[in-house]
Amino acid sequence: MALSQDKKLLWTYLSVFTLIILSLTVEQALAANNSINFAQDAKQKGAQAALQTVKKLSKEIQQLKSEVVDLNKDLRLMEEELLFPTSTQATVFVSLDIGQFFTLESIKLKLDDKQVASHLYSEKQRQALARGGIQRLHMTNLNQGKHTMSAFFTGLGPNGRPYKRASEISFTKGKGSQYIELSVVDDLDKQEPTFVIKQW
Amino acid sequence: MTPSNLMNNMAFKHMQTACAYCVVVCALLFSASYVSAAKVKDLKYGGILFDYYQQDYFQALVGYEYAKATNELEHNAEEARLLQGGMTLSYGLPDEAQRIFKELLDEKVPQESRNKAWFYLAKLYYQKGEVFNAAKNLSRIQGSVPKDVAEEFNYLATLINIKNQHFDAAVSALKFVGKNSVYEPYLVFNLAISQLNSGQEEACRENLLKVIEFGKQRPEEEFLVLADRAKQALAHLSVQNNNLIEAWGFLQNVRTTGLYSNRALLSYGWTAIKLKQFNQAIPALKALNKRSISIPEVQEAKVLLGHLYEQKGATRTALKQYLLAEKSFKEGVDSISHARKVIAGQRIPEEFVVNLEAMMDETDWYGSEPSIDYTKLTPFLVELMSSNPFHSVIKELRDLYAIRNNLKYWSRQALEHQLIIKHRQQGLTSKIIQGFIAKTERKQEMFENEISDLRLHTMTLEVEEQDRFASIIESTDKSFEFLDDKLTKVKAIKEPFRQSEKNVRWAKKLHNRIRKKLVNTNKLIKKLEHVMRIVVNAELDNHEERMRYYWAQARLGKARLYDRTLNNIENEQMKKTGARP
Repeated sequence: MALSQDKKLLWTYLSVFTLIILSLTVEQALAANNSINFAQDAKQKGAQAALQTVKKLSKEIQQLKSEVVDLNKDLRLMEEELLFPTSTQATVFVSLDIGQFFTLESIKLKLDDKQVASHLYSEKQRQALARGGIQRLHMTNLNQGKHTMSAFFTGLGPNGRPYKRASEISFTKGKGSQYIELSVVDDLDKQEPTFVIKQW
Repeated sequence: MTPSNLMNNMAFKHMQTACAYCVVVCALLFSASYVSAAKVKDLKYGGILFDYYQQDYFQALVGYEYAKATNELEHNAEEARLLQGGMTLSYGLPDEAQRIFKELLDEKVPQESRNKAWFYLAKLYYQKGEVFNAAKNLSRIQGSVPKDVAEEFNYLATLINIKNQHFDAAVSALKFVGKNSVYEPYLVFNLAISQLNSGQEEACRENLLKVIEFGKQRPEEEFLVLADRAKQALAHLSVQNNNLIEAWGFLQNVRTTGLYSNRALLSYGWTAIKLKQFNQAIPALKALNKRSISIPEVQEAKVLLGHLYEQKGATRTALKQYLLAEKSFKEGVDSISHARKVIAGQRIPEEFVVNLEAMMDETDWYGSEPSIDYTKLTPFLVELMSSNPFHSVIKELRDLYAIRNNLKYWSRQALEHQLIIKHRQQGLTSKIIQGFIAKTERKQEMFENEISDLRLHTMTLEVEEQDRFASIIESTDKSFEFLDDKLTKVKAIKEPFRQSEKNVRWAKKLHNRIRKKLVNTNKLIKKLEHVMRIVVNAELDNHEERMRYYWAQARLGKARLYDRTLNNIENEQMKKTGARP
């Protein structure tokens, strides 16, 4: 019985001691978490070393990027030669001058009464056009001789009203490649958009 | 002082003067009238711009090379060359960009183009961390700065001034920043932090307060986030000065959602505890307690909340908090081991990198339910994302995946090219064409005889009946005319079209190049994915260690409370039995 009492006493002292130590350390431990190194240094150093190898790989990646740009250029040239030889090639472009009176939403293109292309514009593309970008809408092969092309523009006109317009051109395809530009231009005098098809 | 004089001075003096020069240029910039931007005169240049403005630098660069090869950049050649340099830099090819700008500056180009080239070179050096060279190149700009780079120029000039601790020059330059410029709040914030680092605490405070004002004037998300950062920085300063009440005031105004809310809520909780305002600390910690266990601040808050209840003498609530925290930490450690499996997966790095932008946009990182595997990874990588080296790994990998997709596209196209070439080589010969013409002529004669029989036959009919057939006969005649026209054209062919041997060899060579580049790309992707896995696993180790540390704290808290309760019971028993401790 006496032994059991001693054991209990010892156990109580130990518990109290543990409690005091824990109470003292917990707040400090919680507050000091930022300075604790939570992962093994070796692993973190390994990760840093791995990141360093990326710097070495950077030269190789740069070289590959340049080579792939060059390869794409060559492939584009070769493919055009194969599929759209200069003698029959015809390309249609779209441009927008200012775009204050017209928000372009879509274009439909007809060539010799057949619909050959249509495009729905994203905001990003509209912005790119408004800043001077020119979109290649369609590329095809055409015989030499007379052709007609019509373009149908839909979007929002002045005051945000739905706006639909069509424009047509008759042209003669010559020996060389033919470039045609569908151009939406703001008419500042009339305060409305104009739709023009030009031959280059 | 001219740029050449500047070169002769000592390095520091040079830098000082160069930066001061930047400020002078800023003044010029906003007072001068601009020359309108050059119109697009070459269709192909417009095509390059179309891709460039959509930030598709790869396609824009291909477009430039193509237009150059076909001599279709007659009028906009210089602008296109400059643009090529800028795009090359943006596409992650700094060495090539540097070469382009230097070449351009060696040639006789108009002042505006020269100025742009100097600006881009300065930007390039700044990105490389060579601030001295950046300032040197910026100071070479003469006259007015081109309009399309004006705002960026001013931003760069101010950044250089800040970096070199020329705070007076930076403050003067800030006066020239256009109103509503997106750069202004960032510049003021950067200036404030640099001032703090150089011991100018008062000036730093003033500028941080300005950033908070920007947030009020322009309540867009990015400026509100910046204002939150400024409030936290101010609170940090107040804590350093032992002004806890002031710190608490700043922290109360940080938004409770958004990127920086976790740190703010925890700081708020700690400040309240230091002020002995325990009841004020609890709601902030409770708010954190509900968030994802992957956030370090949440882990700390869980244990701190238990400790706070303990301090208040709410033993049962404290015990419950520790038990719930233990459960959360177990779940957290489990989710880390799941994240490890995810990153080891074959396709995960690519999906993760490609979808990164979308994920960053749609998740707020707080307890969102993952829909696909890689989203289980993202909560643990938030901090890692903001580190530059890891970010460049992600960027390079994204470009390499895009290159691989491009090469795979061309591999599919190559099969079509070969099919076309094969068909053309084995297709029509002069003999086949002659046979075709003879066969068609025979058919034509036969049809003509048949139609003339039918025409004769209709003549035997009544007049009314004849009219019914007239339109059919007319359209048939037109079809015959059309056929005749086509046949005449075919007869005119002296020799069928043959793919030139040169083109066939060219295609073959290019197809081989596609294969080689694809092998090279896959090799580089494999290397970078390996790096990514090492770095991500190290970050997960970091998370696991931290999580296990707080888990242990929660266990200790629980043990402490059990001990105390047991002691109390024993003391009560001893009191009852009259035994002495």
